[in-house]
Amino acid sequence: MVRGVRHLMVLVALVWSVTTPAHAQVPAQTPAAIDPFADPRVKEIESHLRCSCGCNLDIWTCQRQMYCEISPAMSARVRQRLAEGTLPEVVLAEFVAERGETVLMAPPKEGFNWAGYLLPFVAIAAAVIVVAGLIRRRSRMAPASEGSAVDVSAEQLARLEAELARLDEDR
Amino acid sequence: MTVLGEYALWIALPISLWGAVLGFAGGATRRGEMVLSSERSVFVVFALLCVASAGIIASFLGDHFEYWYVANYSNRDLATFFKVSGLWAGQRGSLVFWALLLALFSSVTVLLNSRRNREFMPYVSGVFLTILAFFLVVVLFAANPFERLPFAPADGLGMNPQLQTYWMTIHPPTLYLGFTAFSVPFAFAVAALLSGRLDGHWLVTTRRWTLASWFFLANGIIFGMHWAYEELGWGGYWFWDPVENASLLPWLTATAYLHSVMIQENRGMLKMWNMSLVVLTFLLTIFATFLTRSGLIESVHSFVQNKEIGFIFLTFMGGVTAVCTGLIIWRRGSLQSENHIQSFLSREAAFLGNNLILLGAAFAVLWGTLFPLITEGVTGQQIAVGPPFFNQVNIPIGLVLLALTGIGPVIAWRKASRRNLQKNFTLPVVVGAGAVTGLLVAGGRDVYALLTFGISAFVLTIIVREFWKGTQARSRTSREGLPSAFVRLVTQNRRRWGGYIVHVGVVLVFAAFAGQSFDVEVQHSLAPGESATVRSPFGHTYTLTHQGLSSYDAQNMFKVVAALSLSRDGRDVGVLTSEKRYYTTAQQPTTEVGIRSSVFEDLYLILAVVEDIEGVARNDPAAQRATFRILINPLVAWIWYGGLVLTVGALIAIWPEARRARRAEAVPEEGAVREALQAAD
Repeated sequence: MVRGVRHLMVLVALVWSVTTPAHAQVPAQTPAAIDPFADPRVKEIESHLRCSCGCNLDIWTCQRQMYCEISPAMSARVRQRLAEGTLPEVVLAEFVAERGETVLMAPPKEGFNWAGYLLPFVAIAAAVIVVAGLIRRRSRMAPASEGSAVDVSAEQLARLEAELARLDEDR
Repeated sequence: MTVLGEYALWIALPISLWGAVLGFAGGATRRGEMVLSSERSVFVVFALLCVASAGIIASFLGDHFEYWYVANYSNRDLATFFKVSGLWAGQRGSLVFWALLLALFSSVTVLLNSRRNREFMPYVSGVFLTILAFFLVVVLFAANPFERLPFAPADGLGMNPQLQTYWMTIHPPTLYLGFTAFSVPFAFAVAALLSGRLDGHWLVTTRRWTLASWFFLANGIIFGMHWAYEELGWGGYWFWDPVENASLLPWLTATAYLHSVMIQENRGMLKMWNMSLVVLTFLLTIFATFLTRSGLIESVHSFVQNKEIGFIFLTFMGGVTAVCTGLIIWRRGSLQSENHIQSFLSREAAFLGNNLILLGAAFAVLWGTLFPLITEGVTGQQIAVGPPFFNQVNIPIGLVLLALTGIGPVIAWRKASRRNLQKNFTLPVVVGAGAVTGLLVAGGRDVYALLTFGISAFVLTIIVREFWKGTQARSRTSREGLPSAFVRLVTQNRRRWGGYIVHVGVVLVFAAFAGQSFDVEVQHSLAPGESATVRSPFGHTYTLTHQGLSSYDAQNMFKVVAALSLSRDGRDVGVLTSEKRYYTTAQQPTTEVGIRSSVFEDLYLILAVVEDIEGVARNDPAAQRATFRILINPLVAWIWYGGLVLTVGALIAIWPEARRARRAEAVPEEGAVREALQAAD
C-alpha cells in the first residue's frame, strides 16, 4: 500500500516536472555549469540524501570529506537533473523510487513515520497530564493528613516567617 | 606477561562469581567472614584485571601479532603512544578496560565505605562483583583479547587512522569513566533496596559519585565533539550517530536524577522516582556499550558485529531490569513520598517538569535511534534516521529544557507567590525579549536560533542576578568586600553555586548550537597564487591565497600539506594549513583540517581534493592545484568554553565541603524551615 502510494507520488512528480511551466523556463545546462555553492538547490537536495558508503553522512558533506566514490556520483546525478530543469522534489522522488527510503536522511512525514516524529511529544504531553493529575489529586487529599503534626506558637511562627523573608532576601 | 594476563582473566571470573554470592549471602545472614571475603574479592579481581590489562598492553608493545586482537589493531610502525591506547581501540580490549575501571571504582568504594556503611557494603560488593562477572563472561566467551591466530602474521593491519590522534587517549577513557562510575550509585541503590534502609543516607553517600559520573560523561561527550570537529573534517561536531546518542542517553537521565534527588533531600519526595532513575541510568550505560558492540544499528563507531555479545548483553539487561523492578515493587511501601507538591508554581513542580522533559529528551533520542528497527519490524520497510529527524524532534524539547534551567533555581519552594514570580522573572523576560528583538533587527530570521538566544539571555540574566544578590547580601551581613564575599558565597554552598555555574556552561553550549544557523561555506579550486574570499556573518572578509603543496614521508604515512596565507580585511593574519594523510595500512586517506579559532567564529579549512597526487609526490610544479572547502563556523568555540565552565562548576559542586560547612549541612536549611512552616499551617 505504502509502496503503491510512493510510486503514485513519483509518477505525479514526474508528470508535473514535464508539464510544469517552470520546466520550460529553465534553460538546459550541463551539470558542470551548476555551481553547488552558488545554487542553493544543490545543497538543499544533497543534504537530504544519505550516502551509502557507510559514513552515515549526507552526500553534500560526504563528498567533501570522505574519499568516497558514491557521493560524488550521486551529486553529479543531482546536478545533472537540475541542469535538465528537473524540480528538486522530483529529483528527490527519483532517488527514493530507485533506492528506497533509506536514501533519505530522515523518513518522509507519511504513514507510520508520523509515529517517529510525534510519539516523543505525545509521550511528554501524556506524562505531564498524568503527573499533573496526580499532583492535583494528592493536593486535594493532603490537608486532612497534615496540619497538626507540629505545635508551633504564634511567636515561633513569626520567627519562621522572618527567617524565610531573610532567606528570600538572600536568594 | 601476556600469558599471565590471559590466566588472570580466567582466575578473575570464578572469584567474581564467588565473591558476589558471598556478598549477597553475607548481607542476608550478617556473617562477617562472608562479607570480608566478598570485599577482598573486589580487590583481588581489581589486581587480576590490572595484570590482564598489562598483558594486553605488553602484547601491543611487543608486536605479538599471533594474537587476533593485536594483529587487527596494530602494526610495527604504530607509534608507542597509540600501541598503549590499543587497550581500548577495539572491542575486545575495551571490554577489559571497562571491567578494569569498574574494578578500580569498586575497590575505592569498598575502601572508603567498609567502616562507614556496614549495612550496605555486603550488597554493594555483591552488585559490583556481579557486574564484573558479567563483563568477564563477555570477554572470556565472546570477545577474548588473548585469542590466538593459527599462525603469526609478519605485521598487523594497523589502527584505524582516525583513531591515531591524541583524542584517542582522552575521549574513550573519559566516557568509560563516566559509564563505570555510575555503577557506584546503582550498587548503593540496590543495597538500599535489599537492606531496607531507604532513608536519604545512600543518596548522601553516593552524591559525589553521581556528580563524578555525570562530569565524566559530560566531558567525554564534549571531547568526542571536539575530536569529530578536528579530526573527521566535515566541519560539524555532532551527527546524531547511534553511538553518540547512546552516550547522551545516560547523561540525560543522570542529569534528571541530579535534579530530582534534591527534591528528595529537601522534601522527602520522589523516592521511587529517584530509585527508578538510578536503575534506568545504569541500564543505559550498559545499553550504550551494547549498541556499540551488538551490530544492532549501523554506526560509524560500531565495533565488529558479534551476535553472541548482543545476546549476553540483552540477557544481563533483562535480568537487571527484572530484579530491580521486583525490588522496587517489594519496597514500595518505604518508597512513598513524605510530602506532596502543593502548587504547579513551585520549585518542586519545576524540577519535576525538568525531569519529565529530560526523560522525554532521552526517550526522543532512544526512539529515533531505534526507529529504523521498529519501522522495519512494523512495516517491513527500511528507513534511515539522521540529523534532520533528530533536530526536528529534539530542538523544541531542548529549548523547553533550556528555559527550565533558568526557571527551576529561582522559583520558590512549595508555592510561588505572584510577587515571587514578578520579582524573579520580569527583568530576565525583558532581557530575553530584548535579545530576540535585537537579533531580528540585525537580520536574524532563523526561529530556533532566535528563540535559543532569547532564552539563553533570559537564563543568564537570572543566574547573574542570583550571584549578584547573593554576593551583595553576604557582603552586607558579613561586612566583606565583594570579591571575598563572592568566593565565600560559592565555597559555603558549593553544590548550589557550582550548579549555577554548570547552568552557565549549558547556556554557552546551546548558544553555540544556535550559531550553526549562520554558517558560511564555499569551495574553490586554486592553483598557487590564486585566492579565495569568504565573507563572515560578522561582516569582515577573509582572503586565502594558495601558497603551494608540499609532501613528505612520516612514520607509517605519506603526507600532502597545503599552505594558504590568510588575510582579514586586507591585513595579514598568518598561514593556515590542511593535510591529506595516506596511511600505509589504510585504503583511504584522511584529512587534517586547518582551524583558525577566535571567540566568535572559526575559520575552517579543508584540503578537499589533491588533483594530481603523483605529481605532488614528484614535486612537479604543474601538479599544485587543489580544491579547498572553506567554512566559517560562528560560535563553535563556545561549546569548548561552555564545556570548560561546566567542568569548573561541576568540580566546585564535587569538591568536598570544609569540615565546618559539613556540620552546617546537618542544620536544616530553607527546605526544612519551610517544612516546619508547612506543618504549622
